[in-house]
Amino acid sequence: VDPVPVNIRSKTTIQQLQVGKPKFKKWVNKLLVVAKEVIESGESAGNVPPGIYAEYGYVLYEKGNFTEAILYFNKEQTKWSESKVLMAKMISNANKIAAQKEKRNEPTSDKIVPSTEVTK
Amino acid sequence: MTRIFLSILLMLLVTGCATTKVKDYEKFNAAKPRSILIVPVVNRSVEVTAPDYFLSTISVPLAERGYYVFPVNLVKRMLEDDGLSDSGLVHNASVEKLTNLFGADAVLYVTINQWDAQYLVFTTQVNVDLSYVIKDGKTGDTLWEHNQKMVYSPQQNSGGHPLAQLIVAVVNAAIAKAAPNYVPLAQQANNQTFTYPGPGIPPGPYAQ
Repeated sequence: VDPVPVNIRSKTTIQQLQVGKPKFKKWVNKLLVVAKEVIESGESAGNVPPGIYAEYGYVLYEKGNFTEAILYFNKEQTKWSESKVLMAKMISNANKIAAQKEKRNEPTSDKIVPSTEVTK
Repeated sequence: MTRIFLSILLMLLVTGCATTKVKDYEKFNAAKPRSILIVPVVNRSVEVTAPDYFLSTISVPLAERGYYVFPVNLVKRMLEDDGLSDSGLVHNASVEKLTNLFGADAVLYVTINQWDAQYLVFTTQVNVDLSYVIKDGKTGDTLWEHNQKMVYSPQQNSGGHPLAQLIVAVVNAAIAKAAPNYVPLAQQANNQTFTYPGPGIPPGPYAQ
């Protein structure tokens, strides 16, 4: 997958997705498709490469789909113990943002599932 | 006969002198990193898009060497959130701070010193000069470093009418200059850099 388009790469935020930047949306969707393909072929062969679950989870996170994002962050840290610190942070962040949105009654793409791996 | 023997001897002497310097892996083997954090690339060339294209190609050779490689897009985003959106700032930040933030054992820093396309009518040559450094997350010591210089020309199909081939070559060269495809070049540079035995790094814990 090509890198994030240069003119918008410094502001890769959820807000950007919501306000709608066509190039960024296109990039996110492309990354989503490619990462999913790699995960599926990796799972059938029994060797998902390092960082792929996390990248996929990150794209879901950017899209506001926190439940699924957490699921993939958990998969990454189960498969690769080296990712535990980073994944715990991401799960914590996902839970925090989702809780804030819920408090403000803003719609999220999904409901939140509490994780046991949340950092303090 | 003597002349042939002398020329063979001379060739052996010349090739014997041209051995590449073997890297010292003592610190690397002592640190035994399991995971490598790839931070955004510092760009000293005039190609604005080169670092991002380069970053998208660097994970694969490291993972193939048997190391856990952190997801580069996610890492970039986390660094931006931490006020380290500029790659220069990241490279100057303390190694310990970075490794604590991500739980990494070592950090890979890449600098693009040169990345320019030269238009030569029938072909476009891309010259690259890259510096790679891996630092230990605990001590900040340099565990491994390498400088990779390469000249790359996009491949052209052979066969067909000679004049038509020339036109194709000119068009290809112009396209390569106008919209250079950095990915094959970056992949080639990374593959050469991480070849082991060679300039690369020893196999990691997941090496097969």
